[in-house]
Amino acid sequence: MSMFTDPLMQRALVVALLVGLAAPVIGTYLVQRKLSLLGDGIGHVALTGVALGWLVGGAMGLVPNDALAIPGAVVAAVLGAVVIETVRERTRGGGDVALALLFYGGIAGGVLLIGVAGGTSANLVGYLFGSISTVSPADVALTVGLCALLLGVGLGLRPALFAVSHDAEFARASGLPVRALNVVIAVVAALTVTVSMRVVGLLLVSALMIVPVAVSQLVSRSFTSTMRLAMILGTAVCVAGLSITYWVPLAPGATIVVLAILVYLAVLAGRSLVTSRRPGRKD
Amino acid sequence: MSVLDVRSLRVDLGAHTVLHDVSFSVDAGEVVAILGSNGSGKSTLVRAVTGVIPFQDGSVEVFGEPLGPRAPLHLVGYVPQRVSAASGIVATASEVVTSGLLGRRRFRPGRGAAAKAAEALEAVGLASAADRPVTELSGGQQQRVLIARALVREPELLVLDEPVAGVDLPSQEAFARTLGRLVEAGTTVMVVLHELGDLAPLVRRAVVLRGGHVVHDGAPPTPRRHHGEPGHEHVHPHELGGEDFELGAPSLELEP
Repeated sequence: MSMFTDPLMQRALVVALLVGLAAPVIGTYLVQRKLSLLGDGIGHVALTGVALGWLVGGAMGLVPNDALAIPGAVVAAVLGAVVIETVRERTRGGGDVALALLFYGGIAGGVLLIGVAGGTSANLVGYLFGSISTVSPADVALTVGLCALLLGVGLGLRPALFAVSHDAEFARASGLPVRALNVVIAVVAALTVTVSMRVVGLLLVSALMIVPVAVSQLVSRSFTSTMRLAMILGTAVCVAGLSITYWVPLAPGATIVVLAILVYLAVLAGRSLVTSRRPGRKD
Repeated sequence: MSVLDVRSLRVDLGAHTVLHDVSFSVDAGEVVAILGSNGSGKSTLVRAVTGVIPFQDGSVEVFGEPLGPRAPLHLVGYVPQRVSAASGIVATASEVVTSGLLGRRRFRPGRGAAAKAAEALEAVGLASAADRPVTELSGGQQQRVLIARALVREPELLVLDEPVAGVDLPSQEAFARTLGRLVEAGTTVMVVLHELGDLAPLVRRAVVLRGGHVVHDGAPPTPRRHHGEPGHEHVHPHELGGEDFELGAPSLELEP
């Protein structure tokens, strides 16, 4: 059976392709706002949501008992993102310690609650490191819906999201609803985290949002081209990384992220080679 | 008609009251300079009247409407002090200027945005820089991009915060020329300045702040001898409003 006729692999490829396309769109705004690590923070909080979903699903006698894990992660991630954004705004970008408390609380809460639900932290491994090889048709439908939403918001509101991320003061003086747009970015970041969770896992979620943007930044000279190239790169590394694991027994999430970082290093090396050959050109 | 009307404005930043009972109004077509030393509250004043920061007491009316959801902010062009070029992702001059076309219910710049941005960049003498990342431009050019971002809105009121501070000479001259043309066309201007400099011929009225209070509102103060001369470098460590300027001088000496 070839890679493309295996239904499990087909579903995995669709999810990887969509997430690879959508995650860098949202990641571009996070990098622009210097919030590259926001995704990690949200990921930590989402773990509590996973465990909570598990607990509630178990109590309701649902089968499988983790049926509510992803909805739980969505709710926790969105709430966590809004709290993080509020703390950030109230403290003018500070609130460092408050955010750290939230992150650690998220991981610890997840481990505690999964114990209460009668599981062990081993049950969380799939969420922490990804489980794209077990994507169900329902997961695909959810991914398609969420990615369509992310692309719609991230591309449709691009001028406004660019404006508030570039210069919030000017945006406010122009009459743009800055606070609402900041919350929109936080919420779509949270949704990106939960949708990417299946592909690379919560611990690596931010990599899908940030690394393609970091590569694109090395060669792009405008905001629009940075985002566009990051989308292409994100899709390419997700599909290529996943395909590699069809032939070689490697963890898909880690393979995708390592591949993305290798691309970063290659482009960085290539760029310094080009600039060193053109001594007159300033970087 | 009063374009901007500020009444008994009080602004606190944290526990500190930065502006006390500030009142003044700006009529259509006027060019008003806001003067004062560092820490006198000039920037806080422009940020409060443009709605960037909230105020604690008093009122601000823009074109007859109180600041808020009904204020016609699309008629206002705000030029902040140059932001440090530390945005996480490069943006071209054209992209930055285009963001000036957005507003309360305008989340997309609409048709002809690129042409409008090109026109605004042309007005500040940066037509050739449209597709260059702003981080590659000089400080003065970056400041001109911010002015173009305000101009693309075709504002009736232009509010500028220290537009020539730390800006190279060609950019300063280009700015004075641009502003002159706008004033001729009837644009109302409120501009925060450290000293009048090249803009002196345009400025008919000055509001001088000191410690958050208005200490002078009227004819621009006459610079003391030497202070307005070309090449004069001056640092103002002391409070303004008695030392550097003779306030309310009956004869007005404007620099050429």
